[in-house]
Amino acid sequence: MRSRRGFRTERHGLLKVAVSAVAVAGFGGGWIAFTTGHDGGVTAAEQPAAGEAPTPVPSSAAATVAATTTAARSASTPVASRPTMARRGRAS
Amino acid sequence: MSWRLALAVAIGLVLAIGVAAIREDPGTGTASWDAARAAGFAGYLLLWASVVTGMAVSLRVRLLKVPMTVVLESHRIVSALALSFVFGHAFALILDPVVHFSPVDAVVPFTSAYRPWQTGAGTIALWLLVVVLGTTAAPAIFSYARWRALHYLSFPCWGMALLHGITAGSDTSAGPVLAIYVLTAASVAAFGTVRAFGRGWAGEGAANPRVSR
Repeated sequence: MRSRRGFRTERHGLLKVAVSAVAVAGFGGGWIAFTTGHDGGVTAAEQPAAGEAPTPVPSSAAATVAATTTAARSASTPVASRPTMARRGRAS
Repeated sequence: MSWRLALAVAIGLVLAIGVAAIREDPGTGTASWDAARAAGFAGYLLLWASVVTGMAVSLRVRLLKVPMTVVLESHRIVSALALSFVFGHAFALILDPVVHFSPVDAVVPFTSAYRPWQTGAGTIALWLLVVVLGTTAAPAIFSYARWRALHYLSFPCWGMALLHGITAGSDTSAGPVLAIYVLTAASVAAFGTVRAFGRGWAGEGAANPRVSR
């Protein structure tokens, strides 16, 4: 009885291409979903207005939101990176 | 085939994440972080699929009535792809400007300043996955018994990945994510119970001599 162990006895190439395509599509969809999930959130509030020069410094409104978010999530957010993490919506 | 596809996917992930990281704002950009989250979930789900299909092959269970060879080859490709996405996950974290995750943090457990033991669980899962896939890629080096013993490391590998996802992930409190963790854990527990205690429950395929290990 031939051992099926190892990667040298592989078959079903089309199946593997299809599985790979589904995995990549799932990753891409998830990436897009996470990115769009920031829209309308704290990060969107930081986006510069049209014609305004981009700046990494948050506006006062965004800073207020960040401070509120930070306080609400302080229990599980690493101290060293807490303000920035909260500002980017990743503090939970 | 699986290795070539997995390598191609890994290269594609590196290119896509690298370009996104270069283009993102170093202070406020979230592209690399979002890529790390997506790759992490993809890697975890592929790892889960690998464990489930592996137990299905072991139990001779024909999932969805597909031929056993399809289940086996699915097991191989999702296992190889899991490593690709885990690599993409670590690569995106290394590029992320906020978490300051170094290459050393990615390969040495418990060295990260960001949630050290939680990320360390993920690093251990990565190494266990490398061992499991490495011993399968080089079957001539190991006896069947030794390969089989090392292959059982896939269970702690998946467990460490689950622990890492729950404790280090920033989306654990979200309902859909929690549902994914619960459902995947329940399915592995169910298959594992049958695998450990009730091999005879698997039905008519259990004695099928056409598929050997």
